[in-house]
Order: sequence, then C-alpha cells, then structure tokens
Amino acid sequence: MNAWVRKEIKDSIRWLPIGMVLMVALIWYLLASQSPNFFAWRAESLFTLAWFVSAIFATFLGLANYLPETWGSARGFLVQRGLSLHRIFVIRAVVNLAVYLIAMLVPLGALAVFRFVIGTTTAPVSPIQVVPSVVVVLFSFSFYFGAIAVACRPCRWYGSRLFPLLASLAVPLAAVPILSLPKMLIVCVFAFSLGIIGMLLLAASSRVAFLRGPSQPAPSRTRNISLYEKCMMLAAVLVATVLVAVFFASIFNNSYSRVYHSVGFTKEGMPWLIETRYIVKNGSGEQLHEAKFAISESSEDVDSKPDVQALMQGIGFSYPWNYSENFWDMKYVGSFTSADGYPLHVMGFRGLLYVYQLDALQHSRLIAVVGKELVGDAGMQQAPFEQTPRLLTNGSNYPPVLTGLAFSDRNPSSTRKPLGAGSFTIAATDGIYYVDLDTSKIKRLLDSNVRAYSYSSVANGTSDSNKLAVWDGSSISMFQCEGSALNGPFQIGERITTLSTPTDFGSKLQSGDVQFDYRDPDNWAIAIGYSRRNMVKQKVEVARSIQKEIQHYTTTIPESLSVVNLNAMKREVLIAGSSIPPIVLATTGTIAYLLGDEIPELFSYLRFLVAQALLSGIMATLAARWRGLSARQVASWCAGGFLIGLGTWFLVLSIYPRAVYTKCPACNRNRRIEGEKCESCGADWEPLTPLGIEVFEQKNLDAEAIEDRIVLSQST
Amino acid sequence: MSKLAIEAKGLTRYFGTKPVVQQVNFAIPVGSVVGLLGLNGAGKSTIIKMLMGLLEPTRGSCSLLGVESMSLGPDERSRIGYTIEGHFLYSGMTVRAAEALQADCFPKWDSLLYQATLQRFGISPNERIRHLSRGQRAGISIALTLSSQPELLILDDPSLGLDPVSRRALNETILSFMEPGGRTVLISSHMLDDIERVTDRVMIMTEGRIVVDSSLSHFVSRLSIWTCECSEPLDRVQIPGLVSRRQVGRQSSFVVVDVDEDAQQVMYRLGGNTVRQEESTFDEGVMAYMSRSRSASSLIPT
Repeated sequence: MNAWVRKEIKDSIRWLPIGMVLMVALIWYLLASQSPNFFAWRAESLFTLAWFVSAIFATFLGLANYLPETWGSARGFLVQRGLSLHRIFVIRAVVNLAVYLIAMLVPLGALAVFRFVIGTTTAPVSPIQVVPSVVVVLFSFSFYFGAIAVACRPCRWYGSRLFPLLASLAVPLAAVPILSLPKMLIVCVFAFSLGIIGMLLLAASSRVAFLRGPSQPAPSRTRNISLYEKCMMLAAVLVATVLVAVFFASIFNNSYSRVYHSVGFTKEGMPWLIETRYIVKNGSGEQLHEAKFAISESSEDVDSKPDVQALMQGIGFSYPWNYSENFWDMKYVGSFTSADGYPLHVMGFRGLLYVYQLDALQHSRLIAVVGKELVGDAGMQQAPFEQTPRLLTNGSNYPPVLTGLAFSDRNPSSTRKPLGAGSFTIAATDGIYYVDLDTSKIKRLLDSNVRAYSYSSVANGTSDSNKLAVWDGSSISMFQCEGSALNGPFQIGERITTLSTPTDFGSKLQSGDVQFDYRDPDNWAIAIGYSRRNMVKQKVEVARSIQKEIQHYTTTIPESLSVVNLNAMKREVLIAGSSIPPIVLATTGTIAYLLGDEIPELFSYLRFLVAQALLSGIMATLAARWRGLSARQVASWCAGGFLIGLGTWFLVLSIYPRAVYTKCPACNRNRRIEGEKCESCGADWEPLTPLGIEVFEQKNLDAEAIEDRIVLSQST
Repeated sequence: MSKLAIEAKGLTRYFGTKPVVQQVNFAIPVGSVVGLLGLNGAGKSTIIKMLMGLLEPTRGSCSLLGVESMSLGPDERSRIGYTIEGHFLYSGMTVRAAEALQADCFPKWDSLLYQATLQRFGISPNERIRHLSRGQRAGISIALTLSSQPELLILDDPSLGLDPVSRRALNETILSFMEPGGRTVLISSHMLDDIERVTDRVMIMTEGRIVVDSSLSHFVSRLSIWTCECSEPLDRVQIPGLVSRRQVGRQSSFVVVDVDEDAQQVMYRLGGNTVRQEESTFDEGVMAYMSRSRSASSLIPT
C-alpha cells in the first residue's frame, strides 16, 4: 500500500501549483482592486472569492484524478489488483485533501501573517479576517466529491452528468452564517452541522459511484441506486429548482411601493390633517392612492386646501439598531478633519473605535483607541461599547462599511497622537458620548438607551442650533444641541418633547420604520410609525409647541390605506415563485407566518402551488413508468412529486437508466431485456436458433469429466 | 473449492437495443488453456470485461474461481492476472516503480520472474514507460501480470502490435507460466498460430454467440474442405453444415462441418467429378468461421 500512497501523492501534487496560483491571483486581485497600495479590506470579499476559487480547484482535482480512470483500459488496470477500491478511494481522498488544503490555505495563511505584521497600528486590519475564508475553503471540498460523482456517472455530458455539482453547492452555504458572528452563533453551529452531514453524504455517494464504476453508456440493467446517490441527486434537483425559480421571479419582480406623508395646519397653526400618497407598482401596474384624514378636530373642511407641508424623506431612521456587527472586519464609522487639517478616519472593531490619521503622504497611523471609559493606545485594556458607536453626523446613522485606508509600508512611528487631533461626538447603544483626543477623555453627554437616533440641522436653522432625536425603544425624545458634533465642543441641551405613540404597534419581528421630522421655528415634530414588512399598522403623532406648551395629537391611519392591500404580486412572479419545490415553499411560508406580522403573500401562491404539485405528480408518474419501474416505485415517485415539485421527473430520469425493450416471441408484447421472464406472459427467453455449424465437444461438464481434465493437465 | 476456473451461464449483454453477447454458456476447468477467437466486434472483449467484473451483464451470470464476477474482491483479484487490451500502464512511471506498485498489491509477487521477463523482452528497469515501444510495453504488461503468480490468467489480445520476435517471447513466457500446472489461461487473440501453439481448447465467437467450444483436434476433425468447379452461383448453394464458401477463379471451395450423405450428394451434384475433399487445418477452419461472419454482413460494433 505504501507504493500506492506514493503514487497518489505524485499524481496529486502536480496540481498543487495550479491551486496555489489561483488563490494567490485572487488575493492579488483583491489587494489591487481595493486600494492603490494593495490592501484588501473586507472578510466578506475574501470569503466570496475564496469560495469561488476553492470550488473551482476542488472540482478540478476531482475530475483530474478520477475522469481518466473512469472508462475502459484505465478502469480495468485500476480495478485489477489486490487492493480494494475502497482503500484506493480513501488514500486518494486523503492525499487530494492535503494537496487542496495546502494550495488553498497557505496563501490565506500568508495573507494572515502579512496582516499580523502590519497590525492595527499601521492600518485597520487583522489576521482573523481570513478565518471566514478558511471555513468556506474547508466546506468547498464538497466540490471534490461532487466532481468524483460527475466523473463516475454513466450519463451524457449534456444530460444530468453535472448535477452532483449542484448538490455540492449546497454544502458551502453552511459557512455563510460565520460572516454574521456573533449574532448568528446558534445558526452557525446548526449550519455547520448540516454542512458536515452534507459533506459526509456527498463523500459516501461519490465513494459508491467510484466503487461501482460506470457500466458504459446506455446501461441496460436497473441497478440498485444507493441511498446516498438518491440524496445527492435530490439535493441537486432542489437547489436547481430553487435557483431557477428565484431567478425568474427576480426578473419579473419589479414591484415597489413608496409612501409620502404631509401634514396640514390650520390657519391658527394647529396640526390638522395628514395627507398620504402611496405609489405602488405591482401586478396591476403603477397606481397612485391619495388620502387625507384628520388628526385633530377643526371646523375646516378636510377637502379644503390648508397649509400643507411635506415631511422630508431622508431623516427617517430604522429600528432596531440593526447593523450586523461584523466580527471580522473593522468598519468605517466616519471621518472628519483634525485640528491640524489632516483627515481622521474612525474605524469600529468589537465595540472599540480606532482613530487613524492620514498624513500628507497618504500614510495612515493609529493615533487613538476609544473605549467606553477611556481613550488610549492600542494594547491598552479597554471596556468595549456594546455595539460599534457611530459618529454623530447629519443624516443617516448607518454609514457604509466599504472604503479603506492605504497602509504605510514604513515602520509606524509612535502612536502618540499629534496635538490638535480634534474631538468628536458618538452615539452608542447606552448613550451619547463626547470624545476629546487632545485630552484623551471621554464623557457621557446623554445617559439613555439608544436604539436609534437622528441628528440634523434644522431647516432654516443655524449650524449651532441642532436637534437630536433618540429612540430608546419606547419613545422618541427630542433634544436641543449646541456646538459641533465633529471637531468642537458639543453639548446636549434640554429635552424638547417626547413622541411615544408611533413606536407601539406590536410588530412580531419588532421591525419597522419610524419616519420622523422636526421643524423649527415652526416648532413641531411628527412621527409616523409602520411595520416594515407590509406597513399595515401605522400610527401618527404630532407634537407642537403652542404658546410654550407642548400639545400632542395622535391618530391611526385607516387600514384601508395599508399598502399590503395594494401590494399584489405579479402573475409572472407567482408562477415563477410557485415552481419552488412545495416542501421548500411550505417550510419557508410556515416560518414566515410564525415570525411575521401578517399572513405572508405566500398564500397568493396557493393556487399555483396546488397546480404545480398536481403537475409534478403526473410528470413523476410518467417518468417512473417510462423507466419501467414497478407499480410500488411509481406510486412512491408520484407522492414524491407532490413534495419535490417540478424537478421530480428529472430526478427519476437521472437516477434510473432508460429501460430497453424487445418483443416477446410468446405474447408479442414488450419485455425488458434484462428480465429473466416476460413481465406480461412469464415466458423465458427462447434459446438461440442453431446455425447448423456449431462444434461443441462437451456441452455439460460433469464432475468426473472435470476431474479427468485436471489430472490430465497436471500430468502434462 | 470450485473446480471450474471460469464459468458463464446465459451471459448476455446489450448495448442499447443491440445484443453484443447472446446467451453465452461455457465452463473452463482449472488447468485449461483456452483460446477465444472471433472477428473484431464479435464480442470477445465484452465477454472478458464481464468476466473481470468491469462490465455488468444484461442477463445471466459469470464467475471466476467460483466467485461471482461483479463481487470479485481484492483477495480474488490477487489470484487473477489480467492483461488489458492495448497494454494500459501508468506511463509516467519507471519500469522499476511499476513493479513496486504491483508488488505492493499482490502478496505472491515474484521479483525474479519479473526481472527475467523484462530481460526476455529487452527492457531496462530504469526506463520510463512512456519512452518505450509498443512491444516493450506489452512485455512489461505481461511481466507485471505473470509476476503476481496468478492462478487464473486472462489475456485480452496480448500480441496486439507485437513484432514476431516479441510474439515469440510472449508465447514462450506463457508456456513457461503453464509449466508448474494447475494454472488456467484464457487468451483472446487474432494470432491463430499463437493460439494453436499455446492452447489446448478453442472457443470461436460469431455474431455475439459461441459457435465453437472444443479441443483443437476435435474441432479440426469435424471440419472438411470441399473444392469443385461449380456452375451455380455460390450464393444459391445450400449445403447442410456449410460454414463458408469462396471462389478462386473457377474453383469453388466449401468448408463444411459434419459432412453427411445429404451434403455429399449436393456437392457431387454441383461439381460432378471435379469434387475433391480434404481435411481442414486449424487455420482454415477458424478462417472459415470468421469469414462467414463477414460475408453475412453481421458485424456488431464494439
């Protein structure tokens, strides 16, 4: 067996440079595309491309090692030896796995070392950013087993031969939740378990395929298909069906809905009515719905034209604080100019803020690390914030995490920050903080649970008279602020008002949107809250200061105006979507119903779903009968068609070989060529008609004759 | 322990709707040397692949050394030697490495025999296989097969592409392999004189069926060659037991099996006093069966 191990190593190791070059090229591409100084940022980008490269290489390894020995002489030479095929399979898999891991992980390891050497001081990077890529590389070895199954399938290339690769695609999906750690920890564990089970199933299936070997094109005997192979093909069909359905549904699905609100005031300045405009595009085309409803009593006519002021669109904020804390990457939180004129970039990582200064030569260096209680250097023990804070800037509080910093190839100098570094204000989940880099101090300006916030200059206001709105989970509080949130002293003043109604609408998923606006010197605030899922429950509250008294007006928008009633699905989307396997649709629909706010649109699919199930059952039955299966098998596949959907007929055709028939001379009906007896009349195969030229010396060798022959041959 | 080295019962194989092997039955006892003959496409290699468990039969069954062919395990395979048609080898290896690989897989490996066989074919152990000639590759293939000391040897067209010297070396190797006794050999080949020299029993295939399964002497004894100047068109001649017919100038020649009185009457009616009878040779007999297949336009693609 040692010689065989050496042979496998020698055969496999010649592919190692290919894999390594692929992975190095990928990393080089990432570094070059992200920054002029060849620096890659996000673990997610590396994850995606690592998945792609490892899938390609694993598939290549499987095909290169198995395809040449699939047929004919090569197969015969492989099989005919005193070494079991099972052992050959295991040896080859272990050797190929080692080559695969070396090719894929060595470049990733080198990248991790490179990032470790650079460290957080020179640039906001960390060696752990390669960990998700390592995980997806491990799971992508499923493509190796898929490729073995492809190599050993007795099918045409234009048929179902490549289908096992679809089943392989499902396994690395188990690695995706790792990008959302720690939030998805339990999902991660569950997904990893499923991924490992999937990998083992694929390995078992490919092993069976290799051991059995293809039996030449057009096999004529109905073989016992192993359970592993059936599972693999089922997974492939499910993946294929879902992908095709989602693709076509996405093509057709261009529906959208937008809502605009305006508040109307009476001549006396009282908030009086709400104007709502819905623009919906769905299966029925584009529609506009307008409505007005009173928010307070007034003698004026609703249909008259009061002084209506539209709410600004961009000041809304969403809850909960839903930015998924990325465990692996530093996030670009924001930037501002320091007192000495150089840009300062703030990065978030595991609840700490890292402040980098960019000098005139585009070199970055770390100047401060901000924790919950102090401002210090890298390496100092810091109490982290619960989640990454945000710079208190105008507009949206969810800055994108995309752009990066160039890193310095010089040894970083002292991390002591230069004078005039500046100060800034941040919003954390437990309050608003003011950070002074010059004095290395952090101070909490507002002690409050901050689920979401909105900070803005007021229309017609001055830059030093800003408003801050904070949602603490049960109400929205408005504060007057003084100073500059970036690079200057900043103060949070008195609470102006509180709006509590719009946030209470009992969403199951606790998700929704609150559209909020504040006007000064008109001095009123309005908040409209609605469930994000379908905007069914909408509550409005308006607060206005009238003669220095805050008065509140609340109402609920009638459900007849709810967008869900207008959000019909296009027929094409329903048809495409309903081709998703019924079992998948039923499972996801049930989960959505249990977790969602309303019965999901999935019920719109119902009539199409029933039609699909019936059609699938019929097609599966026809396919099973075409393949000459027994009545019991036909019934099973018919039932399977109701669950698996339109792909079932393909599954049957790809699992079972084509039945070959010939005429039975006894009853003149079709009979299978591999059956010993006719299925219709039970007749045996007729003996061949003699040609009249046969020369058979001994037709039946009896025991004595055999003994004589052996003695004779041994004596000569 | 089975006294039959190879057994086939009702062995049938279709490719699509075309039967390539039809209801083949034979039994080869231990210690036999059997030749399997037939035209290209007769089904010889298909039978051998089914015997080796490389191809699943459509119907019927076959066994080697008492074990069902589709169930042959490494223990059984270590007792079987098989030379593949075309002499497939791992071409990137050296001759020495190829020996090491095979020796690892066969417990009864005889290194001396391997070296001796290489010498017979004039092959150096340090050569890389891809640099060798076809004849030398055949030599290595034979050496690798025989050095595992198999009880059963199956050779699928071993002399394909060999020069006469290499063919002689091959025949001598096979004969020396048979010397200890108790070993069984099945050779599929087109080289009639090699078969005649080495084997003691022959099977001839035509149109996917076995039409001859007999010792050489018995086979020859049942055939006779009749020549005459025949006036009738050959394709209208109907003789009981007619194997083949051909025309050379004015002479018509017929190979007939088990000539009886009816056949003789037909013959004399055709040729009158120009009729002559002679005994068939092995070569002529085999050629007669093979040419019968071709002239009947019944070639089956492999």
